[in-house]
Amino acid sequence: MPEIRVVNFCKYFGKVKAVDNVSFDVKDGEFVALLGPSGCGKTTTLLTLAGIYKPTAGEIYFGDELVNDVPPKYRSVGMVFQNYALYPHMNIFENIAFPLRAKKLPRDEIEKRVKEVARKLMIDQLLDRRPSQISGGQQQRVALARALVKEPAILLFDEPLSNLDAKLRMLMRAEIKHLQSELGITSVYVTHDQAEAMTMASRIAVFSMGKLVQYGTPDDVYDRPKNMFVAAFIGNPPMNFLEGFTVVGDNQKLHARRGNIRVELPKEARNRLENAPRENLVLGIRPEHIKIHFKEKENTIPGLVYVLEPLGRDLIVNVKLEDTDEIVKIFAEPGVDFEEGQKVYMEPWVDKIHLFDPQTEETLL
Amino acid sequence: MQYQLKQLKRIWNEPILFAMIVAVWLLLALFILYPIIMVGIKSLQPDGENFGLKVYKMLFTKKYFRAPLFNSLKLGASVASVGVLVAYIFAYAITRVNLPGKSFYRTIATFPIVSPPFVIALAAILLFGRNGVITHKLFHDRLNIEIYGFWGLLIVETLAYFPTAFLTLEGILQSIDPALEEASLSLGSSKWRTFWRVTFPLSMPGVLAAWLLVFSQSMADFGNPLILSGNFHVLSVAAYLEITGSYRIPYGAGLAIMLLVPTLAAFAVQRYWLSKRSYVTITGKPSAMRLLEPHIAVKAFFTIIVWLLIGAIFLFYGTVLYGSFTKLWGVNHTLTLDNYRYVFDIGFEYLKDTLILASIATPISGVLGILIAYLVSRKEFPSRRFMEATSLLTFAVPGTVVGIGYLLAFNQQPLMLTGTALIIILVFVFRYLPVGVQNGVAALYQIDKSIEEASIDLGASSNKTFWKITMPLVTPAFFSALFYTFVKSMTAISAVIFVVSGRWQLITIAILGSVENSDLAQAAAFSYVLIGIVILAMFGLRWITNLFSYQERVRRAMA
Repeated sequence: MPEIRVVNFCKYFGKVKAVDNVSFDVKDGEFVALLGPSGCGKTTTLLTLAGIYKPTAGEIYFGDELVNDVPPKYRSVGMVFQNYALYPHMNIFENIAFPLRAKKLPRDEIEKRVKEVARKLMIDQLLDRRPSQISGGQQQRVALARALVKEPAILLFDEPLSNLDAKLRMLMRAEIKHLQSELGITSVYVTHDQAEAMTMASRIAVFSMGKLVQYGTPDDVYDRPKNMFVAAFIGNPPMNFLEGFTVVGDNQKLHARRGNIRVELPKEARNRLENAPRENLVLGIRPEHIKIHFKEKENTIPGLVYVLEPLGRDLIVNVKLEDTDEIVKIFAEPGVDFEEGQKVYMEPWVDKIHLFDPQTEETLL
Repeated sequence: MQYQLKQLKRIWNEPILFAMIVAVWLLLALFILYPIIMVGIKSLQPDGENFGLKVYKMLFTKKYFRAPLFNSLKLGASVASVGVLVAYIFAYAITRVNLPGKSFYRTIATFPIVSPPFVIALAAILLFGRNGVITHKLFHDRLNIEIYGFWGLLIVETLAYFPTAFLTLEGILQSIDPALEEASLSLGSSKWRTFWRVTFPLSMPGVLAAWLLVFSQSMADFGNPLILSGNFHVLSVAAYLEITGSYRIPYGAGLAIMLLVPTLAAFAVQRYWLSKRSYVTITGKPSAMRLLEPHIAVKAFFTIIVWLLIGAIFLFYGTVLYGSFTKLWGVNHTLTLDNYRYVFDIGFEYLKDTLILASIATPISGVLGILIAYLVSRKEFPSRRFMEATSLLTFAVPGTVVGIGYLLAFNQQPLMLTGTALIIILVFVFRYLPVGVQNGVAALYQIDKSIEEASIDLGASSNKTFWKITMPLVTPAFFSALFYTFVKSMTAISAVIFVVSGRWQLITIAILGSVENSDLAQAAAFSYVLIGIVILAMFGLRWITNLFSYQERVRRAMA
């Protein structure tokens, strides 16, 4: 199995820079997710890996081979599309056999391989039907079978689960991950669903407006987001942002301050903020990194309980800041009762606090 | 049955609605069904009184009558096949190949749809006729091209009707999810195999629909064969000559029925069978145009085909334009304005009459069309589907049949309309009614019922809802129907030629007259005045649509 290397890849459509100078690599057998909102260039990147687009500039290597000009036919790539792209004028068997017929394999070989892959994906009883006669989840399996049947070296997924309902999506998510690790096929998976990327991929490439913003493990992008975009895009509910903080401090400790609010910053802040701007910063805290107190305490942010969102296992408490009307979402500890309108004091975990420069949106802390 | 009774009861409670439905049905029955039925009846009365099948016996046994049927079918099938092939290549080039200047090609290619029907035939004569610049001047009669007859008609009708096929195929090709083709490529197919295994089979329903459409248009064509058919008799012209030349009405009617049957069949197949077999699926993902980057040779192939077609259109229309400024085509090519002087002097009566009649017919047709569209798509009443089908019927009925029908139906008391302006207006109104109905139905179909329901829910009356909510949303459809009716009325010939009289003259009849008198330059000038009017109407439509369209109003409100 080859590794994929994308080097300074650009793709322009006329004047539109769909992808602008993107570099990343995918290790042999790795599962990488390209994550970003629609129009960020992730699908363009994927279609270029498939060979359907040619790069405007830059290089793409499969192993040591430069594949910029290699047509899709010779790339040994299997692709699964968002709408499955099954052929309505062919039955399921013919759909799966399509790539084998393109290779002009002998008839019995085709039959053997189609049945084999159909059994593996549990769709062997559907081979006579047409795509319109089977369910969305089954169509998804057929699309997967069709991509796998030619035994590709690389698997590409273009938002394969976004047309499924939530329950089925969870199911297929696990199934695809399992299948991928079982087969060990190098895989690139495009999605706009951060949960999918977090749960499935070993590394995530976060795209925004044609650029690769951050590339790292799920823990990396979650705990150490490179900028406000990544911080906001990953995590559900997203990270809370509070604007207008100033860094103040004595020799002992640094604090972020806004009016009467004062929040303690971790020790490493002193080093990291040395050359950074100190005024008008954005404070970022994830919902699970806030402790709620009912009595006034140092280093807390006061607010009123605005609304409660029970999720069964978890409870999301929405707290409204009295002076600015900002809403902070918090995962509350189980077993504590809240009332709407109740006064609470929010204490961020010191070592989980982020600071951002709103001008550049870069992470300072 | 009980359901229908319930519907009926509900309509009773809305007297205005009930009156409208009855009125619409009366009009449709009288001006669409009755004339066509009259054609059928007359063809069964060989001697004008007693019923018999003699006409049909003759039509199938006598070679003189059999030839037009055979010729029409042969021409229709040939034009449809060549036209669809050309249109497919053109549509593929526009939707799939990254050629520059697409919108320009597209505009030029659709020009024959709105231009007067026989301009291309006229151009063919100017280029390849006895005094044609190519045959006579360029090759000094050594080039043996016979433009009169099958081959001439094939070329002329292909150019005239491939745009219709192009529009159908363009729509189909655009609606195929590009992921289907990309999947094929990524699964190891070449572009060639992708086309034949994926793109082409998926567009097959569209290909058949386009074929039937062009076939019907060629069968129904009257203007081009009248000028160009020579000894190659086709049904529409044969029927016309039977009636106006030989006064053998039963035989004319019989030929008209021969013409009606295949076109109606084609229409029925296309509308009620083919439309259910479409593979086109509307997906959630916006199917953004993803252009393939083809091999240079492939691109060259498409570029050449597109240029050839565009070139042919330019050559034909350019020749007519040039011809309109010459003294005597083929003999004296001195430039002159005499022809236009003639058009605006002696021809002014024609121009005025045509404009008056078309201007009266256009709004009536548009309003009636939208009204029917509203009734059939928003109201529940018995015979709703049948009303829609009847109002769309004239799409399928060749103009010649309509013309003969009107001639037969309104030639006696109490409906003695022959020779009046009214009969011409009626022909215009009901012949182009389907476009208003279809545009209206399509527009109303896109507007979710809940938008209207929301308005009623918020306290607006049903009447106010119609005028404030429904009407603005269908306005673009309404205006494009008006434009179509106006243009078609201005350029109509096949039906009206049977009902015109000395008192009301039409510009298209004048052009035919000029061609028959070999005043080709005059005919060319008339044609270009007509084209000028059509272009003006087109800009007018665009302006009015912009003025009234709600998107535009939103845009201005936001600015």
